[in-house]
Amino acid sequence: MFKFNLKILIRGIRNKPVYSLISIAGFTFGIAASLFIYFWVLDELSFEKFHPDHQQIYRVLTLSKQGDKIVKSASSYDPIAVTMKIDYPQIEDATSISYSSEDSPLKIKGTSTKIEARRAWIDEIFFEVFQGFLFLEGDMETALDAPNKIVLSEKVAKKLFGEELAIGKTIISDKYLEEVYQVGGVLHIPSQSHIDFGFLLSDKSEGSVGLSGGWGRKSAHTNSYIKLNKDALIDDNFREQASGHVSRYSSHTDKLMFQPIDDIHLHTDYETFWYDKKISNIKYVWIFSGLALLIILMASLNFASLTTARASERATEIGIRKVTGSDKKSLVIQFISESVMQTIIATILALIVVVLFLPWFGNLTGKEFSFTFSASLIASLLLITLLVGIFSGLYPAFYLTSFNPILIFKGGNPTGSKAGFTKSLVLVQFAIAIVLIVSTGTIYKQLQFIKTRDLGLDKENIVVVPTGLWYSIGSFKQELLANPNIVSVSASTEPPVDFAWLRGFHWGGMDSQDTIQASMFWVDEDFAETYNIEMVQGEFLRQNYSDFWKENDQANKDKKAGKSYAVSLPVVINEAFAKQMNVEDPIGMRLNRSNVIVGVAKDFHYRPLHNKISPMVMLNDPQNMGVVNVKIRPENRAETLAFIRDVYKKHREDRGFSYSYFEDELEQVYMAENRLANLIFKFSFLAIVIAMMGIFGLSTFATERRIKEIGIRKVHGAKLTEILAMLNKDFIKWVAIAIVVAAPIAWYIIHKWLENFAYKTKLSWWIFALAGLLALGIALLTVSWQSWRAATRNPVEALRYE
Amino acid sequence: MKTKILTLLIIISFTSCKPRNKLNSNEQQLVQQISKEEKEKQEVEAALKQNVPAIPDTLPLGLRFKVDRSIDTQFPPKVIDIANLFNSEKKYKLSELITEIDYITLEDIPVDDSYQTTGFETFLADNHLLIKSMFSLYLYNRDGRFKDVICKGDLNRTKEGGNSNVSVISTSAGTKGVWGDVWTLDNKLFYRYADNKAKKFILMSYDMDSEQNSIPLPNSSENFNVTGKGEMHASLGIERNERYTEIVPLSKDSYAGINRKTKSAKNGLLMTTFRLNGDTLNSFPDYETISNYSHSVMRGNFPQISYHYGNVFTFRNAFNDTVYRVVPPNRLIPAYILNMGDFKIETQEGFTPGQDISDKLYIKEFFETRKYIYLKLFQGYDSPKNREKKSVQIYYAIYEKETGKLNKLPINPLGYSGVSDRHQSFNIRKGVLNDIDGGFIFWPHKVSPKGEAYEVVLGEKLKKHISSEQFIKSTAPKNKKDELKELSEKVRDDQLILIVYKTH
Repeated sequence: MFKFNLKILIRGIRNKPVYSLISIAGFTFGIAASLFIYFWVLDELSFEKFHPDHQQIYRVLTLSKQGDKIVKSASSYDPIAVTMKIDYPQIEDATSISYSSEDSPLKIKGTSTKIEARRAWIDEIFFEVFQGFLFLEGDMETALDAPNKIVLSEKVAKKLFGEELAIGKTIISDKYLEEVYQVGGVLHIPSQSHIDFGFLLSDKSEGSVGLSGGWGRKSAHTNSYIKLNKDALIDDNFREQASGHVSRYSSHTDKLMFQPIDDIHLHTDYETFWYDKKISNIKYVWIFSGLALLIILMASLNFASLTTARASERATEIGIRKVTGSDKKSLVIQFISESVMQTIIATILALIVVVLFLPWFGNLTGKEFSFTFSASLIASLLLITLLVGIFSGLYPAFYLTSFNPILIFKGGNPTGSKAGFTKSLVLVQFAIAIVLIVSTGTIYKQLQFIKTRDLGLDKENIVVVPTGLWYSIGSFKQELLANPNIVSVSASTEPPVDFAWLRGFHWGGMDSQDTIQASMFWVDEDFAETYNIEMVQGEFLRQNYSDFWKENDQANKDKKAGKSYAVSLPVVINEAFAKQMNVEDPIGMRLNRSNVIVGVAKDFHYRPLHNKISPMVMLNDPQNMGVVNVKIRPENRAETLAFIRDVYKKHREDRGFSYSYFEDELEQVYMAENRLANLIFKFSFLAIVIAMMGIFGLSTFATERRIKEIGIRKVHGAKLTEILAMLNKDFIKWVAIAIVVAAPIAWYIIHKWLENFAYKTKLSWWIFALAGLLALGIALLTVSWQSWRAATRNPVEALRYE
Repeated sequence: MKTKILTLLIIISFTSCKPRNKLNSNEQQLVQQISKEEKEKQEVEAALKQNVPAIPDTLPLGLRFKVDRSIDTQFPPKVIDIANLFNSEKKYKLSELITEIDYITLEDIPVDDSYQTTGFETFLADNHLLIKSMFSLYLYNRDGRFKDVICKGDLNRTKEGGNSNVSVISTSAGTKGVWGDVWTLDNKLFYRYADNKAKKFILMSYDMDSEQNSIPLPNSSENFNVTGKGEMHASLGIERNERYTEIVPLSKDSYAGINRKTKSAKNGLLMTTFRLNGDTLNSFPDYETISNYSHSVMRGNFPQISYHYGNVFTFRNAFNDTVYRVVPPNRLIPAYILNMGDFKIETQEGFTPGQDISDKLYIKEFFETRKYIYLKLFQGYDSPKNREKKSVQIYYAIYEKETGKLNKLPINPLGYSGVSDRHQSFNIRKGVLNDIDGGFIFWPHKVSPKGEAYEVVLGEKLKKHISSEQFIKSTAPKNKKDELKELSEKVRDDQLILIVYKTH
């Protein structure tokens, strides 16, 4: 039976290679695309799952009052972990990690080449909780068992030691003081981990500043985690106590929430900042899963519609087999097995495509994929292949076997006018294609909007050089400015890409409790010039640094003497802040009874366009500068960069030199959107190709089915245009209906996506029109080519046997 | 078959849909809770700022508030597990306990050069330092600048015999000046002014931020001269039997009179709270009294614990298991429960001479700082005789407020010398090795109301320490050691240095 069915299938492929190619290629593309998306979704869903007890581990989130808002974040008080472990029997273990706010240099002892890496401090419980980190060298028991031991990430170990063993070697970090470490271990950090660092130190290490704070202040750089007992009793009492834990130990009103670590990557629902790493959105998983389903659906519909359309051609075969005694069951099995065999072939081809193109896909998505046949993959593939095969063969099987053999042999058209099914498939496919075209068009438009939007500052030809904290940057700036290719130099905490330290501010007679939240941004007096920031009132920051240090010294003395202390500095606010103040002239007013407002700057974007421009305060405090922004002329870039490097090395020989262009930093912020757009574009293109293949196949059969009618019409004097119109009319009608159906669906989806942005492009009607026209054009081109071929054929060929 | 498959499917769907036992919380509810608590906090802070009296301005005659010794449900008392003292030992580095050490050199007291020979006591306030020498009291800014003379004591010296170099100070006769400990709440100083000749004993308060430079003598309706600055409040009674052992401010408008345990155990009166003008607000009974006491003497070397922490008076009576925060007019809020277990000494056995308490423990020092409580515990009755026989053991322990753990320090309990605690502490320092700057071994001598441990030492002592082996061999950072060494080279031998041990 199987042999027989296979023979029939091979014969069918030989006889109609184009149609077979269309159905099998459609499947192959469909399954390959879905497999790619499957890998992507699987990766997205597998974050943190490499830890053995990931379902028991939670990250501690704090809800705290900041100004007039209650803000949720992963910021933590250092003692949270240790106290929670003691207080609640439900908690098996609790740990914390504290990240340094900037990179530190590392070098092998006796060498001069330095690399920069992010340091983090952990307590002794850390590896008990996070057991999924794999030690490539050393082990968790001894890795940090002495105060001078250090654990390197695999990447950092490779950078420093290449392929050599790192364990036991001595390395030096000489950021401020020379710290000598012995490598106690090398750790592999899976890309599906939100915890990421360059090197780890114990919080008991010499000079450790990590995890040593008390209940006084919580830090955005400290994250706490708890691991619940397997069968922990989680009742309301425990929930209440754990949520109110901070108040038991301090006068803070912060409340704690507990986020399963599995949810961090896709379900983080608070405003994230640059220090919140590897955060994505479940929306994208849904979008791509939906896309994969649509593609599979389209490929299946193609197959089903093509097979149904071919029904008339196989009518004689069915008639003969019915007359010679085949029962309906064997015919159904034949058609379904034909379909399943085709999906199996398609799946095998798809697997080959996936294996070949997986590295390319990894590159495209910025992820690392490895193709391994896991049980779940085999099961999923088998299920998809069989389901799609059976589903696709089901309708044709029952439809074809229901033909009346008498009608077939009488020469009637057994398919009759029941072409409604194939037409409705055209509708569904084109509706999907239109939704994808609109989505791709709008995402592209939004990205263009981001790229071309006036951010309120100059973004071209600015080089950002990280310097680390550097109190006396003056002479470095002066030396740089001696080069005629350097236009302006300014120091700031970070480039204005995604930076925000939130502080509460009050003014005038406001109560100090009743503050508004604003971002604090430390910049020097040349910042406005470097980034071409306009002032709407007053002047930009000027600073007499000798006065500053004098005041600062006095403040330190006051602090030591227990007196209230404050260095009163000039500040510049942005328009958003001035608007919040709602005063006629904010110039000269004091913020927090200390700093004096000297100017109002025109609003500029200092955070990605996902966020609205919120109130901001700029302050010139040389103690908080971490980068130098150098505006250069576009000519002689290489020479200018070499000059910056040389001057930097002269001043900061103890630190490695690195730089980036401000534009690239901006680009980096929208990396996720760019990747998303790229992916959606590619998969949409594929979906459209599949839709085209479908309509091509259908139109071919439609015209072939009517070839005699065309011949008769031609013989009776029908014009070419009339025949073309007759053949196209049906398809065009269905495509038009598809446009009407798809437009609101596309609008809804894209509207939801744009909600992620505070600043967004408008939903343009012309994108919908363009998508409709494109769909129509594609349909017309595909159908017309077939129609034209049929219409220009010699009618004699069609009517020869009549 | 169909039924079997269906049953299997149902079981699978049920087991796979079992909800995960998640630790989730209602965010909206928590947000509301924060808003509510913040509002309450603001109200309390606003009330404190305005110094809203918690006590009504006028009280009907004879009114006493009802004693309230209930726990604060929001901050239930923490248990200090002394019963298990010997089960947990930990070696601390000073850098684990303290984040910064400030050394502030003090200007000399311009009007008194005898304080170093007669001895002095120091009291660190939020922004000031007070030095009390005999019956005089001097005010310093916290940066070491001498600010003012609060009271110049009249010692009523009398020559003894024919030797003109020897003088005897009589306190019972005509002595005038500051009596006993002084206390501070924010910038307000409270002290007792005694005029033995005039038989006056007055509670005084003084605003330390005040910029008066001379010593004005407050006008007195009773027409006697007070040589101390400030405002006069209640008359405290000069006779011993009518006085409370300690007078302690509770708030800016109330104070408490506290009896020593030797007295309260007999008369059952622990403490009485008063308005500053002397109106009685409330009396707290002592429930652990002694009865049928037949001995003529009592053992009395069991100190009470009393200090201000965050401006709240905190108190523990000898032998009692509870350390209370005292909230005027009528609340004793249990803050710490001392679980003494088998080491507990009952009042009766403590006081009765000859009772064997050699295997019992009692607390001699209890210093509360922001993160830690430093306890010095004695096993065996502390007397010169017992010290000589080495039948007293001294233990040092640190209670970690955050973790609730009490850890004994690895210090030899018989490593003391001399016949008294004071003698010992001056000669052999015991405590935590200073790895911050190589300075003195740390053990709190005093703690300010802000929870900062501090001490005042002579330059000579610092110099001696710098040349000691302990300093030379110290592994503290070199730059910090150098700074300390530099300071020791700058100061004079007789110059006072205030050392503040800070915890952020």
